[in-house]
Amino acid sequence: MRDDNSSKDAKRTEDLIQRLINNDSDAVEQFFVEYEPAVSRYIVHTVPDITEEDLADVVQETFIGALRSLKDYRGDSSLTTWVLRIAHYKAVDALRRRQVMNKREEAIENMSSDEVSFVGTASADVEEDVVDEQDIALVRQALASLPPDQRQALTLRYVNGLRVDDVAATMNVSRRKAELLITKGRAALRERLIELDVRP
Amino acid sequence: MTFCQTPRSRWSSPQFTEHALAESARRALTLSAARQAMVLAALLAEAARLRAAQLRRMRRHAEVRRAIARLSPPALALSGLLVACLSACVAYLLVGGVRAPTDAYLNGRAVIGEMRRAPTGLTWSVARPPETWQDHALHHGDEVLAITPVTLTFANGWQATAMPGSRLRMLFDGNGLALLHGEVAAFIANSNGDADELRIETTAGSITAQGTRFRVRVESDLSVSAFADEGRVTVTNDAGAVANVSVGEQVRLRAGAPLKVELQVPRVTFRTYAKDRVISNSPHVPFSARILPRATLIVEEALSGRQFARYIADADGVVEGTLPAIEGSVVLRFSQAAPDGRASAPSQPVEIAIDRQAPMLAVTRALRDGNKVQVAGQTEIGAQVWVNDVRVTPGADGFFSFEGDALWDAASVVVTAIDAAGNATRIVQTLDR
Repeated sequence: MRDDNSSKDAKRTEDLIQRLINNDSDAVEQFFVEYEPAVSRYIVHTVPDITEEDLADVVQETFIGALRSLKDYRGDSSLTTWVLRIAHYKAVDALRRRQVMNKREEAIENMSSDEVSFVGTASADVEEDVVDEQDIALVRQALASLPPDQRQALTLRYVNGLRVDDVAATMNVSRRKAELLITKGRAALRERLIELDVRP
Repeated sequence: MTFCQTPRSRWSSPQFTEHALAESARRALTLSAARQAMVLAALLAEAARLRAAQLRRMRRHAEVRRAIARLSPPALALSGLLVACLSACVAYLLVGGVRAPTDAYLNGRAVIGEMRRAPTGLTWSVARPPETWQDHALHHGDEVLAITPVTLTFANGWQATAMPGSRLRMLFDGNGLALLHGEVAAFIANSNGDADELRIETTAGSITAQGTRFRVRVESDLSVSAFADEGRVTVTNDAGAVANVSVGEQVRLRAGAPLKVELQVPRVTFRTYAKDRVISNSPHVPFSARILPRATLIVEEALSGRQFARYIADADGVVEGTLPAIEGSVVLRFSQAAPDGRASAPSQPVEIAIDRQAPMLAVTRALRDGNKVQVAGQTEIGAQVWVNDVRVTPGADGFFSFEGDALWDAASVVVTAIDAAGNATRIVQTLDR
């Protein structure tokens, strides 16, 4: 049953790609509607503090890049992996262009104790398994401070929900390397979160 | 305000961290419907642009396919052949096609310029570095700059020797060469009935010969001299005038001047030359000369014009003799008078000097270090030095230095200097240890 579904999905994707190569407008719309959420999530977790306007720009660049280079798509990775790889390059471009990363690092380094206390004052019950907005802010802050390859691996694995194989394909590394990046990234993220999560 | 870090944070739990990451994804910033519409509109516009470009490409390809399809197979093959022929013709016209080989082979050290000529008349040369060539096949148009005497041997046995510094080019048509600079001595031995001719072209005219021995020289004033040493050569100047030059005769080709055949200036050879003069340690200087058979070699002093000596050549035109005793130095000129009464022009003056003085020789170091021997010193400029039996060439200033294995088991070396006149100085030097 599962095999039937996956083969149907593959055929559907193949059909979509063929129609995209012919620049069919319905196919373009379907492509955008299906893949935009994953692309947006990835970009949001790669480019810290991105505004909606900038996100729209990077998403647009990603999909236009995908349309233009579809003729080079050889089908040796899933369409999601391929689109996310393009999204990664566009996100890195955006980071470079606007030096968001530098600003972010400066902001972290210059963060005053008042700001830290603000994070602490509105804390939820530590023992409860409830994730609040401050936890989300902490997670993104900690994620942004990780080395780029670890951040990319964690984002692809936990934010976009890709399998390890797809993470490896998107990052163009071996499966073993992808596993290592995810394991190390997870440990580094926890350490960073413990460090940042200062509560009274 | 005091803070303390939570002793056991929720973040210590991997599950909580992964859960927080998933929540972060769920609550991530998303594009509003309006933004999505704007991005989608931009994408559709791009897709339309790409589609239009795609259609244009497809139309062009279809037109080409239709044009090819309209051609019948024979017409298609003919078109391909035509395109290939046209391409080959254009390449041949521009690049120059194949280099045609001559039947001449070169031996000697020379620089060779491989000449190429396109049918359009465009010619260019690719120079090969100096090399000692052995039986190198020459092609039409190749240029040769002789570093040592260089011999061209033709398949039929003809030989042409270019003197050092001479420059020549193989002609593009027929058997022949163009002499651009220097001198060529040719020996053509045609077998019976063979009517082949060797042609040497110069800027002043051409020389053709059949079964003979002759020389052609480009003079410093760019006139050309041709000498017949055996048989007969035919000379044609740039005005079209023709002259036959017999054995022992020469002709000078000058632009605008008539051809005048005259007796060759005698070629006199001495055993010892030093730079531009003959030098000897004996007052009786030996020489040899080649003139017409039974002709008279006349030797006279260049400055006074006084006759110095006369010699009669043998039946082969050879003179071998010794000049009358000379003291100090004398400047002589040589000419010949044929039995039929004709006389040649005199040769260039030749200074003959008698030097009986032994060359200066000083040994400044003679050292034996184990099996090595070092000898150094100074001698007269132009003299040669021998250390025991080993020849050592001094520098232009006369200083020399020798270092070698002590093959002899002696406490001394013999150093000998011999000057150009043949005078010698010999020193037996004790080796320091």
